Amino acid sequence: MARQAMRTRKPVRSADTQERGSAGHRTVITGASGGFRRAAVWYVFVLPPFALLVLFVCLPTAQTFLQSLYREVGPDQQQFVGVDQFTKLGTTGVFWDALINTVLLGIAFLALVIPLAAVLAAMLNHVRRGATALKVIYFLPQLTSSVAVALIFLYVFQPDWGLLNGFLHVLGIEDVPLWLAEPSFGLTGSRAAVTILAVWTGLGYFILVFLAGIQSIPVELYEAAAVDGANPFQLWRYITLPGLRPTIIFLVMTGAFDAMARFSDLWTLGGPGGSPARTLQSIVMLMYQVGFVSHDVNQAAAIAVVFFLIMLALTVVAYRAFLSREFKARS
Amino acid sequence: MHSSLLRTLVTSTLMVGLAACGGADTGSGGSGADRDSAPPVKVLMIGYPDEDGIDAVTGAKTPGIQQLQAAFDKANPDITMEIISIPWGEGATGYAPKTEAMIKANEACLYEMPAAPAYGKRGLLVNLDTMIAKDPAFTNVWGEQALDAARSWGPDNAKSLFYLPNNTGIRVINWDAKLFKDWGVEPLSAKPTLQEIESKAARMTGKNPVTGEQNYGYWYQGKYAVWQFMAIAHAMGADWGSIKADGKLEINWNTPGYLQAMEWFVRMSTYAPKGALATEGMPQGFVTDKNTVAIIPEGEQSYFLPQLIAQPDLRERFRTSYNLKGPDGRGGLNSASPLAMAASCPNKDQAWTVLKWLAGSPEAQAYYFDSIGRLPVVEGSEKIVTPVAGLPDGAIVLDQARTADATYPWAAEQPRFALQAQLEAAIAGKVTPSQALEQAQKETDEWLARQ
Repeated sequence: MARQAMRTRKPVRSADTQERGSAGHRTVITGASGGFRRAAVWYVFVLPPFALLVLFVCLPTAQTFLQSLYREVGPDQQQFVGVDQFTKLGTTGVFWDALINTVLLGIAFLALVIPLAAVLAAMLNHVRRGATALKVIYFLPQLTSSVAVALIFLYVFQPDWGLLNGFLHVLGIEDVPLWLAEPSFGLTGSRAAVTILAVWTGLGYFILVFLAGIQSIPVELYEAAAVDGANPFQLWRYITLPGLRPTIIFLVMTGAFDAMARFSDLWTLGGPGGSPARTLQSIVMLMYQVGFVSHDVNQAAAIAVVFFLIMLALTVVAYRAFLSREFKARS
Repeated sequence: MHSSLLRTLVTSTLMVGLAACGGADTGSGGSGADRDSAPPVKVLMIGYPDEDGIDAVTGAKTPGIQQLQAAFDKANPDITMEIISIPWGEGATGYAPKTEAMIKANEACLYEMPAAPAYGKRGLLVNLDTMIAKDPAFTNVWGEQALDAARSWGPDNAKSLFYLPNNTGIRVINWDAKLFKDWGVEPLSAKPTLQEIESKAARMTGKNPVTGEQNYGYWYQGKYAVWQFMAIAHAMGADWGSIKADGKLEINWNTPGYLQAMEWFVRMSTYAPKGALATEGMPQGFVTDKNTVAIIPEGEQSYFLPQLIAQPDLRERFRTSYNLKGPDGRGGLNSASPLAMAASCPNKDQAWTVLKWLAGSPEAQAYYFDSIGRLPVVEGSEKIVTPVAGLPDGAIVLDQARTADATYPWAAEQPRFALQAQLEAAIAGKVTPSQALEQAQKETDEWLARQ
């Protein structure tokens, strides 16, 4: 209905008539050339970013797809090998380990950060004094370089002289966790440590987005529910949570993309091999290690293509499952 | 208004485009009028200070990269050299992608290039034997052993010389004389055996009888433990394999020799702090009064030399022994910094002169030590870095640089990461040494099959 209205809406100014003013006199330009000139201005506006997009995104992406079909056989010499690089990847255990690791780290991050941020945002929404200061404090880690944050956490999680275990010692705990020296899935292992780091870094952003979502829910709904005798839990369960559905979908999607592309902090903490015992190796780290440490650019390109296809699939699934319903609901 | 806006936008876009396309001289090239006709020899150097400075710990002056440029210009007035200086960096902004991009784009002639053999294998570097063959004035100031250690497989020659070493870090066995004294343990010998290290490390793990602090007999650099493992295995006589005539590698991890080495390493790791697996360098407190670790095989020495030189009490406490040596008298990671020539270099003759000067001249060698503490690789180096030669273990430090193990052609490849990952798993107790080597061999074989 709204779309129909847009299509039939008449322009304020005629398409083939335009006023053009300069130096104190006004000229009216009409016809097709005027329309073209007016449109050209906007093309010129669009052109620089479009050119940059083509130069730095589209061309390298196309080049990566092409590289994944070749094998280097000498300086500036490549041999076409078809899908051979992908076949090899499929039989490489390290690739699957890195992929599974990335997915697991992503799931752990989202499973922690989304509920935590939702609760904190709801509480922050009721804070009347110092709310801005709290928002700034929560958001600060997001503004800090991920490498700098990782270096700090390297010290925080150091098992022998780190900040966290030092604190546990003060509390009288003798058998302290090994954190980054413990290659395990446990709550005190290396994967848990980097998940805590990711949550600490990303929490502020998630809180702010949730807060915006909460504040967009009409107050009248809460007032009506209060009149009907709803308690705070019911308000949260039947008004806030359904109202946050688009926000949660947005955060799950963007959070999943970020988690899949995780690199700098893991590289800083785990080194090129994703130490300890590859527990911190993500798919992007493997791509970098294969391409720039082991100098197999074609194999790295194949990993990049697989990664691209996974992200594309994730986007399509997310769109079909969630976003299309949201768009329909809003139109 | 629209046309003027259009003109402004077009002009701005053109200006931005032209500015972006214009080259920027990132080097510090000389500008003698007589040298302007010849194209400059561009050199990529990594990790040197951009400006003159002062060492925050010792107060010693650290010369910036322009000092090296000035010394070269003075010694070679007929050649223009431009240095492109970059930091080591980290991850995506590290030296590795920059080097890869630069050599693909023919950005420089000479490269300070970790993993040079891997580039040479791809045919991207000049076999320097061809330059030596047509240079009657060439003098080998590095020694036969150092050049032999630098040889690796190339498409045209199975023993190509793709680089000259221009300086080196060294890997030694560091030990704390004070802790030895506190525990009443005899000082470590100059060339300790594995048995000596094991027995002394075991005795010095526990509460220090003098200070009451927790001491540790042993240390390993967690994320780079594979290098210590290789030194141990080499000392036990294990052999990783060889390069075949066609350049393909044959690598054997799953052998009795490596199993014995890994079992020994895992046992020794119990004398180290539990968190050593999560580290990537020397222990906290090393070269300070707070040190608690007695013996550090495969320890990094270069970074700490300026401190030992500046503080006499430290040099008496933190001592140095030779790294673990194999039956061939060699051992310890070869951490020489390779200086290589790109196959695409347009002025190879001039570049060769520059390369020889940067890798072999006393001025350049002195600069590397003064700026970042890297040691000379030329014979007679004690005359160039006299403060090092004057240390209690100066002779060992300088000799270790010349007796490191040959470079590992797989040092940047998947076999290294396979072995490192499984070694970590074994140290953490997740797998047995036998299972670790089996898995490392499996991953290595997968990689070898793809070569």
